[in-house]
Amino acid sequence: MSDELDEIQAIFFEECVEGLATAEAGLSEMAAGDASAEVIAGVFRAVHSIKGGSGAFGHTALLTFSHRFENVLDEVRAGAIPPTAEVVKVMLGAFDILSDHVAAAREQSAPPADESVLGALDDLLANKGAGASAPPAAAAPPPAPATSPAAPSAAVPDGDEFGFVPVAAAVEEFDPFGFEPVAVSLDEVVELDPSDWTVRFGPSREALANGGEPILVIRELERLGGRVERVDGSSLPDLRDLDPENSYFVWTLSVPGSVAETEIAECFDFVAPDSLIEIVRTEAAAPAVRIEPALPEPAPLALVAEEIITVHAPPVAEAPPAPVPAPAPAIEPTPAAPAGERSERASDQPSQTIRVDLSKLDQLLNLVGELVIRGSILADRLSPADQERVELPQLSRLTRQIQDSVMSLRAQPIKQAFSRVPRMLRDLSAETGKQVVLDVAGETTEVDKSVIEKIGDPLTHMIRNAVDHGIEPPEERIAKGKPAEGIVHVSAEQKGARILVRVSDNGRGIDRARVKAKAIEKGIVAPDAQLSDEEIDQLICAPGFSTAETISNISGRGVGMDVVRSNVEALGGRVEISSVPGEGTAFTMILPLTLAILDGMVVRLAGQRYVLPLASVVESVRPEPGQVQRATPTSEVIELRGSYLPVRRLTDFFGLGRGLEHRPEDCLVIVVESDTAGLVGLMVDTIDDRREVVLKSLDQNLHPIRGLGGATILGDGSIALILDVEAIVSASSPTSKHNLKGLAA
Amino acid sequence: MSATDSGERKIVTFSLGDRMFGIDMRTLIEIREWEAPTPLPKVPAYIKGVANLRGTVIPIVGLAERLGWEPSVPHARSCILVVSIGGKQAGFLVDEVADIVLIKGSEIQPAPEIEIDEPGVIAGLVQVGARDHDDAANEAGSMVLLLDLDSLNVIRQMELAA
Repeated sequence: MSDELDEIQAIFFEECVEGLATAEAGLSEMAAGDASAEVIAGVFRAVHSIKGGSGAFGHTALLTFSHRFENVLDEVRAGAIPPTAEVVKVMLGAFDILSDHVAAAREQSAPPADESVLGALDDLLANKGAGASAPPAAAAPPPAPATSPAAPSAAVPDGDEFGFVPVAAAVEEFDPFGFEPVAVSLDEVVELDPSDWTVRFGPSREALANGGEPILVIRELERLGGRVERVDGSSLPDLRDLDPENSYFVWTLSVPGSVAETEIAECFDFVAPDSLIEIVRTEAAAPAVRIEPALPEPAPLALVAEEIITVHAPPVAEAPPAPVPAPAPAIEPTPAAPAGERSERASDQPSQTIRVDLSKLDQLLNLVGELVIRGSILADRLSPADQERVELPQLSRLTRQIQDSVMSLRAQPIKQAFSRVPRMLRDLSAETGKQVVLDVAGETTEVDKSVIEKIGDPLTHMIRNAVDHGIEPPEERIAKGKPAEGIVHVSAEQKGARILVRVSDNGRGIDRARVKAKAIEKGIVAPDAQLSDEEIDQLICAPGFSTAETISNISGRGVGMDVVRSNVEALGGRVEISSVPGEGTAFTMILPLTLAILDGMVVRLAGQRYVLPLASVVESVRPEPGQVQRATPTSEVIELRGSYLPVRRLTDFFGLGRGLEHRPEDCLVIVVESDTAGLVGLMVDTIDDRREVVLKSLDQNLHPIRGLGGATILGDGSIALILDVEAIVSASSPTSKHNLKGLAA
Repeated sequence: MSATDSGERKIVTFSLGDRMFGIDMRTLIEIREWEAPTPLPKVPAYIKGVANLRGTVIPIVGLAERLGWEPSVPHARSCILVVSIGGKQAGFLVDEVADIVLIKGSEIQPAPEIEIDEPGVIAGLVQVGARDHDDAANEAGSMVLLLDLDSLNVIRQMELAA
């Protein structure tokens, strides 16, 4: 029992996280001035879902808070409270507390202090919503029909059209959750469009006890274009027999036939299981569908709480019966929309998704990798004629396609990593007294899940750094003739096989003289070192470096940028810093798109096979005698079409024996292009092959080794190590862990 | 594996040179024949390289070297014990796998003083009786040193060494 409940709770918290993201995105849009009915309704729905689940799981503090937050949102949605900047600010504050409440419920820790925020919310209700301080219910106009993408423009009833009469004064008194009185008409019967859905809903006693509010379910249905056709109050007992905590009504609604059944069913997600819920086609022939509510997705039982990702599935063929147009289409990955607003909107639509345990995807990926390997073993053993005869090429093509599909399953919008940024900035801004505006771009850029997971920490440090060191206090900014508000841009874009994640600010820029002085003081560089601007900027990432004169709460401990650099390097990426004094600083993380598959060149070093990522290979050269020359006793260059490139002997780099006495003309020089050192020649014994390899991490069971990006399993089942070109060319000596200068310098 | 546990448990016994050792069965994933692993550059000598364990890359550690003794020279009966330590997997080269025996927690005696680089790794000493169906008569009453591979913490040591 408790295991099962835990699993369902885990799903609930996953949904809370999604709900919070939706709410935050909506609130940010409102803050940016877009307070359309759609946006407000999205925020409302998100908070409402959190409330519904929290009631069901007995998270009282979360329930109470979300309920009061929801009350305000409801008024905003109804237009009783105008969404002014001030109101949005209060709601953003409430959102932060809501996040804390969710975290507290999840960790079973003490709920956050929410009195001041609740007070602010109550003030909003009392002042702005003066006209609606009485329970709103039927008096509130129904939400704008525009929120329902699937609904035809027809048939959103005006609430009063049915001559609603409030019933049961007692309802107001017993209600601990602020139930609104429900207005019903007992005798209205309306002709139904034959193809419409008929939905019957009779909440159970338990549904009410869990904090479910029938009116919200009905509003949800109304938003889909539904209308209340009649309310059956026939089971209503005499007043003296009335159990004030029970529900006696059964609502019958008609919902346009164009709405997918799943959309209707979703309205009942948080309704207790023993409630009456029927969804039937009005053409009497269609069988009644009795749905099991309350468990949004009972299927994936073996869920691991933290490791769930949502996968977009194509519209499911067997979903709704009969002539319904395809349900809301799955969201296609859109190429980096300018501000990501559109996709935000799209994600409000119920998309066809399933939740999959991430470890299952990883297992699938591993198996596909094995399949690829087995395929190449087969190819190795069969002659080309035999390969054709057994249709091996077709099989290989299919395998490749499967591999691509699995990879795409793991691709997720980078939005997930960006989601905690707005909150962080608000907190930072409050702590430092600096005024900061966030500008996010490219959040729909898709990246492998593994990358998203690992850029969270670096991103946090970069943003802290931008606010703490970059953005000036308002007075200083005004004195410099800048707007008082600083801007932090966070953006992501795909460039070839790389993802660029950039955090930039329009603050004071890097004070290079001070950085250099500090580095000399800390013994990081020699006092007489001649450093270029870029090299000085890179010093920020040196371990133990910090210029903050007083150690602030936020950064200044001298670990931040060092962590950024090492995390990013561990991902096979690098950090670029550019800064203009007085104008701002930009930190760019350049990351590989995926960590899992790589196009590689198989080379031999001292008889052993290594894989060189093809992305960095420019050309390969068989040197003529004399073409490779010694520049210094320990370094060599190759003369290539008139220019000289540094050459590294990989056997030396890895200490595999065979030193300089080995003749270059017996080897191959592979020219690689590196980010840090430009063109460099790498000397290898031979080239074996070119193939796609599945990257296996070494540090899963080992630790990272400098110069190696991982390992892969070759066609014969043996292991080949993957070379990390950047690490090799940037290491001036094999042992230097933190060298700051590239070879080009 | 702590020496204070009571109750029965299974251990796998194996030899390194002329000494017998045992590890808890629960940490064992599989026993494989010795096959030269792919050597890794720039790692301590006791890391023999990496091997492919059904799609996962695992390090192969020379246990004798790791404990500070003469390296074992792989021979026809050399084996690799693949174990899971602290969520990570690693293979250990041993000279010969001997047996799987059932011992009681109460039979475990305190570890003797022996010359070893990692004192904490010896979890205790246990006398393993002769087995009637085993032709190795000289095993009667042999002493087995129980190893606690968790405390050996190979992975962490490798990180320090790197």
